[in-house]
Amino acid sequence: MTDIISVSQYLDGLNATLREKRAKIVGEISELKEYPGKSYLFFSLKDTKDGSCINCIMFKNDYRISGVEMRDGLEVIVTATPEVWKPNGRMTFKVDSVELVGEGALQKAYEELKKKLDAEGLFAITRKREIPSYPSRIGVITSKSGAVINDFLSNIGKFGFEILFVDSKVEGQDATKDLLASIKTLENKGLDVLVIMRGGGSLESFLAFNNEVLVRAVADFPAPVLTGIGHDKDISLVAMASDRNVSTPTAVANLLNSSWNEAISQLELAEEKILSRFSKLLDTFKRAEALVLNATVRIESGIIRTKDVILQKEKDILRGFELLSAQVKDFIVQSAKSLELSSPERALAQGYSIVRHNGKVIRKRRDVRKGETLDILVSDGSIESKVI
Amino acid sequence: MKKPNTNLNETLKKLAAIVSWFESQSDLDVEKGLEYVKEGAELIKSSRERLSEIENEFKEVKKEISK
Repeated sequence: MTDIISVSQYLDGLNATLREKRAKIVGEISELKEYPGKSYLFFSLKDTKDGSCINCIMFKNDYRISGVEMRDGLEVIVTATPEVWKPNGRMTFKVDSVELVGEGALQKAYEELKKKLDAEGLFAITRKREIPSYPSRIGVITSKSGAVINDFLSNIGKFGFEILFVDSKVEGQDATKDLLASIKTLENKGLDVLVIMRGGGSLESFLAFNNEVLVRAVADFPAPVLTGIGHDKDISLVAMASDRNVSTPTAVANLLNSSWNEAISQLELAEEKILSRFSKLLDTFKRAEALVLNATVRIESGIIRTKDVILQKEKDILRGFELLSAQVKDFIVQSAKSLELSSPERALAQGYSIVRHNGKVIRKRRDVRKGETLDILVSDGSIESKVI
Repeated sequence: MKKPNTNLNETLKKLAAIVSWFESQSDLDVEKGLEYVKEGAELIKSSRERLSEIENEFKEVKKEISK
């Protein structure tokens, strides 16, 4: 405490210490000033029992994300960090988020928002996009600690999934900003499907998942959104706005696996079909082979038979011709013999003669008249004579 | 008489016709007989050649089959 420092330096140090005093504080809203056109608003938070009060500043963006409609008299829980505002030395509380107090209020807010979004058609079946078959690039938003991510990872199949995991708080009002930032991160990553998961819990622990801004971000996400958000009584609005909701991380994994598993069983079926058809084809081929082998034996014997046939025909023709020639020879010899037997020379030698008149052979008495000259042919020449 | 790609079956039929001509012969037509013998010789020659081609092709095919 010996060092003397400036006011500014002192406040910087004090604020650094005060930042560690971030707390969730419950109280009633009063003196709400919204300053239209400004990026922040002011209000006081009053203790309902003794009226103690703190001054609060909240950026309108955080207010919008909180999804609570503030008004004077409303009991809320704020998450705030104390800070001394250096220009005026006043202590203010910077509020990050504001949430409703008590199941009743939460239930009422839930029902109102549900009604409003439903009227807008945000939960309509016609809006739902199909979770694609064979998803590959999958965005996953959940908390890295806890059973959810473990259940998911131990059930997701080995189908070459490309998983883009973003760790996010999923519990309480604080989770809203984290979830919104995670969705933003994965928005332009060309995902096939976005998965948002958390386990079950009370309505209070589900605050973020009933947040209007988050519900709209899910509904507007460029890729189909698959939620695995468990619930006790009321299904969360994020789950209602997503394209498909299942209740456990295991169910999410199974859904993502399903088309791949189906493809594998189809492949196995196809493989079986191919094998059985191929073996049928082989059988047919084997039968054909046996037929061909059988045919070769028959062709072989056919060739041998044909050779014999040709040889036989050759013999038959030659024999036929020889027979024919022999018959012709015989005929000639026989003819010669017959001719020889009946030749006139042979008769002349035996003493017969041939009488001709004017070259014509005389066979009857009436062929000649008295005084005509006749040629008598004998074996060694002719004798001229006269009919008397 | 010999044609490219003699059909062995037809050739054998022609030979059979010639043989049956000789068997039924009663006219002693040796001139016709000589014609038929000449034709028969051609047919036998071409059918032997064709058969040998067939046999060779068959041997090739058989070799392929038993590979």
